[in-house]
Amino acid sequence: MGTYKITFSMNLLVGLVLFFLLFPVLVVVAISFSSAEFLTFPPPGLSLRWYEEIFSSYDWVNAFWITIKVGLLTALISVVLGVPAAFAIIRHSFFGKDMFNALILAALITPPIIKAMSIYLFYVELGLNNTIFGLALAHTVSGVPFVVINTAASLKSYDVNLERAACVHGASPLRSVLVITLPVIWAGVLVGAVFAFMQSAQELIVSIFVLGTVNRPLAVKLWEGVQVSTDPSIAAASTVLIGVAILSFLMVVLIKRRDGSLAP
Amino acid sequence: MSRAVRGPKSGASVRLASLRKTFGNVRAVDDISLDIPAGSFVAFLGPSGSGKTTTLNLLAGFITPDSGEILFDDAPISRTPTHQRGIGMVFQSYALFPHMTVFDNVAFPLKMRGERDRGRVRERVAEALAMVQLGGYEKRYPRQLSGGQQQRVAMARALVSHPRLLLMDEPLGALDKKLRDQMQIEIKNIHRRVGSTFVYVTHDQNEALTMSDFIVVMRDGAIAQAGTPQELYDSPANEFVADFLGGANLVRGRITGADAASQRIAFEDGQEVVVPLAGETLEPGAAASLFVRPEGVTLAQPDDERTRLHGEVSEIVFLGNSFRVIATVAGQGFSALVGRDEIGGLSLGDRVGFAWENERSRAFASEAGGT
Ligand SMILES: Nc1ncnc2c1ncn2[C@@H]1O[C@H](COP(=O)(O)OP(=O)(O)OP(=O)(O)O)[C@@H](O)[C@H]1O
Ligand SMILES: [Mg+2]
Repeated sequence: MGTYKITFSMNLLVGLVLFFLLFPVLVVVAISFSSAEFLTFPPPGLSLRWYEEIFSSYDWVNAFWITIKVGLLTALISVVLGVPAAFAIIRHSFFGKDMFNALILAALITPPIIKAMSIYLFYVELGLNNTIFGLALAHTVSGVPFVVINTAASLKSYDVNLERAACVHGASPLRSVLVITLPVIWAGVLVGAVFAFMQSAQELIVSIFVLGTVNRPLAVKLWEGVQVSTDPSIAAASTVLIGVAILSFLMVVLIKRRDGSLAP
Repeated sequence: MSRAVRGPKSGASVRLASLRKTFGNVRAVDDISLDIPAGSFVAFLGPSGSGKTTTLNLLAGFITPDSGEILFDDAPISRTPTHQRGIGMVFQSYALFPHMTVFDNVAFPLKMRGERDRGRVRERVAEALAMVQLGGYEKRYPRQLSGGQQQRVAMARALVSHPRLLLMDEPLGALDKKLRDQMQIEIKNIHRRVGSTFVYVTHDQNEALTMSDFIVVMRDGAIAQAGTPQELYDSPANEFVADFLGGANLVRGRITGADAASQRIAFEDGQEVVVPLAGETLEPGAAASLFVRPEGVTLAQPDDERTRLHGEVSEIVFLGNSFRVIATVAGQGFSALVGRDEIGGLSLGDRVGFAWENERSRAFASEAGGT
């Protein structure tokens, strides 16, 4: 009976916390379907007018595509760099390995404004400011850790004998990794890539510095929209971004479910 | 009758020359030299951590020796990478590729070794699967197979490209007893048909005794003894091999003297036996064990002149076609396998005499706390 009480109050507590965390999101989603001209809550009526508005606006659609492009490019480069890094960390011991490890993870905790300013100054020299490739490269700094962490986790539980079996039966070392190891651990790599993409799609500060003038990604456009306009179109755009995040999250869950070895 | 899967080339002879491999301060393989005749079935037998897997990994090329050389057909292969050594291997965990069907798993070595003709591939895969009696399972995935079936697929994959050398690391370790007995016979049959050299790692002495042409008993990274199963069983070279392979009586005592052909061991209770000098020759005073196999021991009257050792019966176990009589000799256990008609009216607590033919006994240096 005591445990029942505890379970009940725990559930209540968790529910309250979740409500507190999610309430602002729910408000934004609700407002995006508003029929009113202003950001009012609760909305006086329901409509899809703000979705029509953003999807017929070149600016919004363009921002959306830029976010997608930057995100996909970020995910791709993160995989290309992160997978070999994960192999190095799990399979080999080398001088400075702990430093290497820490450096990769440091990207996750460096204050965004510091990252943004230093990358901006660096890019002035390289001419990478205001390019999609430049922003993708900048986002890759934070995208790589996600790929490394997830790939390393998969590699840890991967039976090295599979690769040895491939080698002993005639596959070169590189070929055994490509034909056997990667296909077996693909789920971990993909989860890392999805995280890298999500991280890029929601990142604001670096984006403002690197790609904040002409071709702005969704996050930057939203940020500006909040400052200048007061109509619910930004709520609709936010909801689209939330939708992308939820889709990515569902993807991760589905991947993990398909691949039992990744179950947490 | 199934067709023989014999390749154009038969087994390779394998030579290990002063092979060493250390991990940190563990001498996993400590100066091993060994000749494995082409086409033979060799078992590496030894307790956990004795260096069997390390030796196999050196043969496969997964790790490189610190020193020494490995030769296949008299050609050094230390610098040949794993994938060019032309060997097959069965892993204890099978290591089947989980994302490939049985067919693709078995076809893998053929494809990697450049077989492009799809008709040939199909033919060879079918042949290999037939040999392990798994025809019809081509489209399954490894996870859809039982442990025994996975084991067979692993065999087929290892053999499909007619390797010169087949390595097996405790391939039956994960199977239950019945399946293991059956697979032992099948593997032996397969060996006879394909003619490759088989190197088989196990810590099951029965497996080693029943399957192999040669047994290499490993201990602490070194070879304790190598020879045919009969040699090792009948004339073990030391206490460790005697104890590890088959049941053995090892009664600890001390050497009290020796002459040209024999030495004497005395036990705590004052009894003395004379053994031939065939085992190890020991200094007087050295701790020694009397070795004699239970099936070489017969019962005798305590006052019979054939009696070499006296004891007190502590247990009589019925084994179906025989009895195991266990007695206490010098405070230690001593057993004899006795036919049903020889047991007579023996009962617990009786004093009994044991006899054996002189040349079936040995003296070995006894290891403190051994057995
Ligand atoms: N990669 C490694 N790093 C460090 N030590 C190792 C490594 N591989 C093996 N060893 C050590 O070398 C010794 C021999 O190990 P090995 O795996 O060859 O034994 P084994 O005879 O195969 O034993 P088992 O019957 O348990 O499989 C052991 O002491 C082991 O701890
Ligand atoms: Mg082993």
